[in-house]
This record gives sequence, structure tokens and C-alpha cells, in this order.
Amino acid sequence: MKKLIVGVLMMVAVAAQAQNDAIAKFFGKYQNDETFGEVNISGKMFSMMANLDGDTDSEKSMISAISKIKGLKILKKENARNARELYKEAMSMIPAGEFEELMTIRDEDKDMKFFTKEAGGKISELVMVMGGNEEFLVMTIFGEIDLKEMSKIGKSVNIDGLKNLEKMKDRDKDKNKKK
Amino acid sequence: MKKLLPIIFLIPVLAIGQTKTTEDLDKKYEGMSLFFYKNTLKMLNQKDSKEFDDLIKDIEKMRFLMIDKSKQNFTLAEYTSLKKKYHGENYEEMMTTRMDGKNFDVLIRESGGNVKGTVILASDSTNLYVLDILGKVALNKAGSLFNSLDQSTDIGQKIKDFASGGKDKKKLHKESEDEDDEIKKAKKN
Repeated sequence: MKKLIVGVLMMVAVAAQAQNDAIAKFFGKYQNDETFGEVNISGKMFSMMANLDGDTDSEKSMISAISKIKGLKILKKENARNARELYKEAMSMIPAGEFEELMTIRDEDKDMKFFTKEAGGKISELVMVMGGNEEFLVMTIFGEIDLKEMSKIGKSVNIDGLKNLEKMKDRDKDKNKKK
Repeated sequence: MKKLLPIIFLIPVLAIGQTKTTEDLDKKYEGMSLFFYKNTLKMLNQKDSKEFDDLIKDIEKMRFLMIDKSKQNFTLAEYTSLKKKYHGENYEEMMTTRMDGKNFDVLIRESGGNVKGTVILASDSTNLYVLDILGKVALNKAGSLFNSLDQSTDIGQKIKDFASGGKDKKKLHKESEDEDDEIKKAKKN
């Protein structure tokens, strides 16, 4: 019986690893391609912000949320004829069983989808895929994700691509309307 | 929220010495090479700009290189190789950005849990900029320092003035004299 439990646990662990590898593989495939824009921020950079002091409660909660992020990666391509194909390829690499679709936005010619992965009741990864006629972007943020703070982070950090996180506030508005 | 921006990337840096890689780069390629001590940096701030003060207040030393990539035949492969050399000096990548043909990288060396050195690399279509910093620096402002070099803001102008030995100031002064002459001529006519 013990052997069976250990075996099942190992299989689950291997399956989870394979799913994470699918996203890593996508980034690995294109990150050295100079036609793509790339942003990569390490967890250490985020953790260094944990010691900062915010003036207001809002700033403090944002610093706390930032300090729990373990890493961030963005791949972006503009003026891309194959933007739609890249979008499809990125969508196909997201493991459906592990990630839950959080929200979808259609903005003019662009489709934007947000996915989250949960572990132990907390969101451990946020993936955003955006595809237009000539524009493509995929972003992954991992660690302990506080969705409420994501739109604020997107607004405050001056990095191209992260601005899309501001769309998360629309989700909060919709949620409040429903209430 | 805007108040948070200056502190959001504040990285404590306590360093002992600067990198061999930066020194070698300076020896290999011709270009602008500046070495700033705390007092030199203070001297740059003649207008007592608070923004500039915030930027330099915790910097102990700073080495700045600007290399014209086309004149010096500095390729993308050499940029990648440069980063590897910093890795060889125990610098690890904290942030990598490549957007619109521009590269921006932040590398940090730690020892015993403390940050000992920070290297910021920026590369656009024409120039390679290297900032090798000892002390504390707000990284978001260091980024704006690079931008300011091209956009002639106050900070950029200060460094340009310093680098050109006041030539830019003289040039501006001459331009204003020429304008005065033109006005005088117009009045006579």
C-alpha cells in the first residue's frame, strides 16, 4: 500500500513538473529570438523590496504583495505577421487541468486571457496571453499572487507589458457590480 | 502612489571594489569613461535638484562608460559575452529587458546576504552604457539616468557638461550670442 501511495505521489509530481515545463519550454523556445522583446525579473529582486517602507496602507500592502512574487517573465512581439499563430501556440501550452481561466478581454482586434494556478488555497501563478492581428504577448508571474494588488503593480512598475495587469481592475469592478 | 516609485527599486548596495570586467571593457574600447566619487557627484548638482540628490545620496563610487557601438564594432555577441564575464565575477542577473532593440540588464553581486556590487547595462542602436555602482542606488532612477543622456534633461545635461568640460555650456552661450547679433541686425534694418 505504501509503495502504491509513494508511486502515485511521484507520478503526480512528475506530471506537475511536466506541466510547468510546458510554459518554461515556450519561453525557452523564443527568449533568444531577437525579434521578441523579453523581460525577466528574478525573485531576489522582488524579495529585496520586502524591507521597504510604504507611507500609506495602500503602499504597504502593495510592497507586501510585490515581495511575495518569486519571478516574472514576459515575451512580446510587435509587427508580427504570425501573432495569431503564436497566440494559439501559447494557449495550447497552458495545462487546462492545472490552470483556471480567470478572465477574457476582447479589445478591438486583441484577445487577452488571464489564467491562474492554485496551490494550497493560494494563487501560485498568473499567466496572461494576448494576441492581436500583429501583436503577441505572454506573461507569467509566479510566487504568492495577490490578485487585488496586481492592477496597482501594473500601474506603478514602468515596464512595457506589465501595464496589461491594469486590466485586472476591470475584473474587480465587474465583481463589485455583481454584488 | 507616485511617492512609492522612487523607493520601489531601492537596492541596498555595500561594495568594496569595482569589477575587472568593466576595467577590461574600458581598456578594450574607446569611448567616454567617467569615474565619480561621492563628492564629484555632489559637484554635478549645481542647481540643487532634489531628484539628482536622491539619485546620488547613497552612491559611494560610480564608474560610467559610454561606447559608440558602430565605431567600436561592438556586436550583440559581445554584449552577451560581456554579461557572461560579469557572471564569472559572481554577478547574477536580477533583471533582463529586451524591448524595441534596446537591452537593459541589472546584475548584482552578493556576499553573506549583503549586496556588494551592482552593474547596470543598457544598450540601444548606437551606444552601450555601463554603470558600475558602489553604494545605494534607486534602480528606477538609474534607468532614467540612461534615458536622460539622450533626452537632455537636467541630469543628462549635467553629465554631458561634465564630460565635455563645459563645451556644451560654451556652445549654448555662443548660440545665445548669435541670436542677440541677429536681433541687433534686424533692428538696424
